[in-house]
Amino acid sequence: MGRRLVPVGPWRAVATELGAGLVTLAGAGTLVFTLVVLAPGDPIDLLPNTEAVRPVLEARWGLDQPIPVRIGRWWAAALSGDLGTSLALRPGMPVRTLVAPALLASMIRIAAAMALATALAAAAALWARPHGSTRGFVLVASVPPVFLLAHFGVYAANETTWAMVQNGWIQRPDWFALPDQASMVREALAIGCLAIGSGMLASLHQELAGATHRWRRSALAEAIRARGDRAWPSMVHHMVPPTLEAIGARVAALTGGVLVVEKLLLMPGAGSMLWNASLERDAEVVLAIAVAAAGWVVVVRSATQLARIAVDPRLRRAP
Amino acid sequence: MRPLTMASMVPMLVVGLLAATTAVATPLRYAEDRAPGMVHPLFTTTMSEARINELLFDSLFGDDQELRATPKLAESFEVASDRMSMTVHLGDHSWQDGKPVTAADVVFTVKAMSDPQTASSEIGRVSWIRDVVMVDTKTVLFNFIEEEYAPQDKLYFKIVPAHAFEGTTVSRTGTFRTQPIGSGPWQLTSFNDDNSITLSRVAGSKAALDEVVMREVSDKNYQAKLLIYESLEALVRVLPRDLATLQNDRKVELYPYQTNSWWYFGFNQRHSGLSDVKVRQALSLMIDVPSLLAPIGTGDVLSGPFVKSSPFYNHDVTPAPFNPDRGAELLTEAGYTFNGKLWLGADGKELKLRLTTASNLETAQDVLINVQSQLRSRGVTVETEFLGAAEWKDRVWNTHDFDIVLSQWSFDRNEDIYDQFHSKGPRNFVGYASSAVDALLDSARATPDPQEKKAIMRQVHAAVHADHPMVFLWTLDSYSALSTKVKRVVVHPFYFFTWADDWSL
Repeated sequence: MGRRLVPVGPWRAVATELGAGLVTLAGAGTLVFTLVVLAPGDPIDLLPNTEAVRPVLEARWGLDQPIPVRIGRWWAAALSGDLGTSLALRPGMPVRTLVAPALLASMIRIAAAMALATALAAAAALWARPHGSTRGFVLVASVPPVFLLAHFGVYAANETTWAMVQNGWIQRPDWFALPDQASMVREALAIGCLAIGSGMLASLHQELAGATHRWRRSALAEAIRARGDRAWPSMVHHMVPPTLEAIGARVAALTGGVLVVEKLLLMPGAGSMLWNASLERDAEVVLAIAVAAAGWVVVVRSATQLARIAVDPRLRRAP
Repeated sequence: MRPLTMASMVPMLVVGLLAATTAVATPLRYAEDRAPGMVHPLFTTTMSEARINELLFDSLFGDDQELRATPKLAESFEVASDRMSMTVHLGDHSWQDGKPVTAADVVFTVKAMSDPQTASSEIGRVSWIRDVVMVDTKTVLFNFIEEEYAPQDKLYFKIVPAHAFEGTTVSRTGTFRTQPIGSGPWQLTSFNDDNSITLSRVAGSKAALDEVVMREVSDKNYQAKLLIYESLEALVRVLPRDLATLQNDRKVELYPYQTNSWWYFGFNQRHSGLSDVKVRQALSLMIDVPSLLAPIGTGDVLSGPFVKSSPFYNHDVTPAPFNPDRGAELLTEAGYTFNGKLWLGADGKELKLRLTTASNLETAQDVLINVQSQLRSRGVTVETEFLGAAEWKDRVWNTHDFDIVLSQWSFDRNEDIYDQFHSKGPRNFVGYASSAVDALLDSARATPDPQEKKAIMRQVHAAVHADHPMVFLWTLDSYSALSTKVKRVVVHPFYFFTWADDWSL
C-alpha cells in the first residue's frame, strides 16, 4: 500500500521528501562505497600477478588510503562533476562517460515500465465494474517474479520463433534470438516483465481499483450521475493523485527490478553495469551508479509529490 | 474466450507480428562470458582478452598444429652455443597502421613488460630475459639469465608497436586499450554499446573471415542455445550438459581438444587437522572420484599434478582408490574417534571442514554437493561456500582462510608446477612444504636437458602423490562447438584462435 498524504503542510511534505532524499543519497553512497571497499578483495586481486603489481597500483589508484579519505575525495570530486576513473570494469575510462548512457537506458526502461504498469492497472480497474472483477487475473499475471517472467518470455519467444522459422512459415526475424540481439522486442520484454512481475501490477491495480471504487461511491459521482453528465472526466481526474502516489511509492522497487532484468536479458544498462562493477570491485563505478539511482528515486518521488499538489486543490489549501 | 487462453496466444501473435524479413550474411560471431575490459597485450588478465589478442596481435613464435614452436613475426633464429643468448631475425610484417614491424618494437615490448612502473600482468613472461638489444632494424639479440634449451618456446608473448607509446612505462589507462594497433590478421573496428567487439580483416591479410564479432553472453545457459539458433557461429567451450544437445544438431560440429588443466581438492596444510598426512590421505580414500566426475562430463582421473598426455605424468603412480574403510583406519590412527555418526577429534569436537570454490568454476556445484554427501555419509561434516573472483583471491590466496578448496590449474606447454608445489611458490596457497620436492623442482628448473627434466618431474609426481597435499581429480574432455558453416576449423587448445586465419565462412 502507498502512503496516504495527510493534507497538511504540502510544501513542507515536499521539503521533507527532498531533505530525506538528500540524506538517503549521501547515506546510500557512503554505505555502498564502504561495503564494496570492505568486501574481501580489490581490483588488484583480479590481476594474475597481484603480488608483483600491488605496490605500484595501490599507490597509483589510491587504494592504500583509509576509507573515509577515499569517500571524502570521491564526494569532493563528484561535487565538481568528476566521478573518477574506472579501475577494473573499463580501465581508464572516466566513470561519467561509462555510466551516463547506461543510467539513461535504465531510467528510460523504468519510466516505460511504470507507464505500462499504470496503464494496465488503470485499464483493469476501469474494466472491472462493467465486465466483472479483473483482480484474479491481474493477481495471477503479477505473481511470478521478474526473473521467472523474463526466462519464460525468452524461452517462449525463442522456441516459438525457431519452430516457425524451421517450418518455413516465417523468415528469420532480425531480433532473433533473444536475449542476444539488441532489439525493440528485447526492450519490450524487459519493460513488460518489470511492469507486471513481482507483484508490481497487482499492487498498483489494488490501489487504483480502490480509488475507482471510492469515487464511484462518492457523493460527487452520485450527483454527476443524477445530472446525467459524463462520469469519466471526473473519475480520471480523481484517479490522478492516487496514481502519482503509487508511482512515487514504487519507483524504488522498479529501480531494483531493473538490475535483475538487465542481468537476465544481457542488456546494457546501469543494473548490469552495477552487477559487473561489484564483482570486479570497481568501487568508483558502483558508487556512481548507487548515488545516481538514489538520486533518481528522490527526484521521482519529489516530482510525484509536486504533481499531486498541482493536481489536487485540497492539498494546496492544507495548512 | 478465457483470459488465460488469450494470454497463451500472445507470444505467437507477437512473434508473428514482429517477424521481420532480414537475411544478411553473418560474420563469425563467438561468445564470451565476459567482454574484455580492455584490449592490451601488456595487461591481459582473462582468457577472453587472451583470445581477442590472438586475433589482433602476433608474437615472435607461435604453435603450429603439432603444437611445436614455429616462427610468426620471426623469420629465423639462432641460439648461441652456450645457450645464454639468442638472435632472432624478423620477417617482413606491418602494423595495422601501415608501419613496418621492426626490432625496436620487440625491444620496446620486452622493456615495457619488464618495467615495474608498467605493472604488466605479463611480466613473468619476460623475467627470464636479462636484456634485449636491437642489432639492426630486423635483428634482435636476447641475453638470458640462465641457460635456455628452447627459448623460442617462451617467446610467445605478443609484440606491441613502440611508436604507439611514449616510453616503456605504459599506462593501463592509455588510449591503446581501446584503439589497439596490432600486426595480426584482424583489426579492431568498434567497441559496441552491447559490450560486443567487432574486428575486421586487415587489407592484404591472408585471413579468410572478413569480420569477427565477440559477443558477451554472460549467462552460459544461453550460449549453446544461441549456437543452435544460429545467432552464434562459435562457442569456445561447451558445458558438459550441452554436449548431447549440440552433438545431435546437424548444423553444429564439436571439436575436442586437449588441455593442460586439471581439477583438485587442495587441503590447507596450515589447518591443524589437515597438516597430518594421515588425515589428508583418509579423506582422499573416502572420496569416490569417478562418481564425482560422471555427472559433470568425461575425462581422465589423475594421480598427480600433470595431465595423462604430459611427458611428466608418472604412469607408475595410480590414482588413490576409493577405500573408505582404510580411510576410517587412518583417521583412527590420526587420533580421531567415530561415535557411530560423526568423527570426533581428540578435543571432542566433530571433524568439520569448509569446502570452498570459485563461483565461476563451471559445474563445481555438482561436485561440491556430491562430495559433501560422500563425506557426510562417512561421518565428516562439510560446509560449502562459493566465492567471487576478488573474494577468492583475497580469502584463498592472501589470507588462506579455507580448509579445502575445489579448483583447477591450467598450464601452458611448459607445465611448470614450481609455483604450485615449491614451498616458496607464489601459488602454493595450500601451504605444501617438502624439502625433497623443493630440491627436485629446483633441479628441474636448472637442467637444460629435457630428458633429465622429464625424469625429475616424474619423481615429483610420485612424491607429491605420496604427500597428499591435494586430491588430484581429473582432466576434463573439452569441446568447442562451431557452426558447420565455418570451414577448415582447427582450434588451439588454449588460445582458440591461433589458426583462425585458415577458417572461412
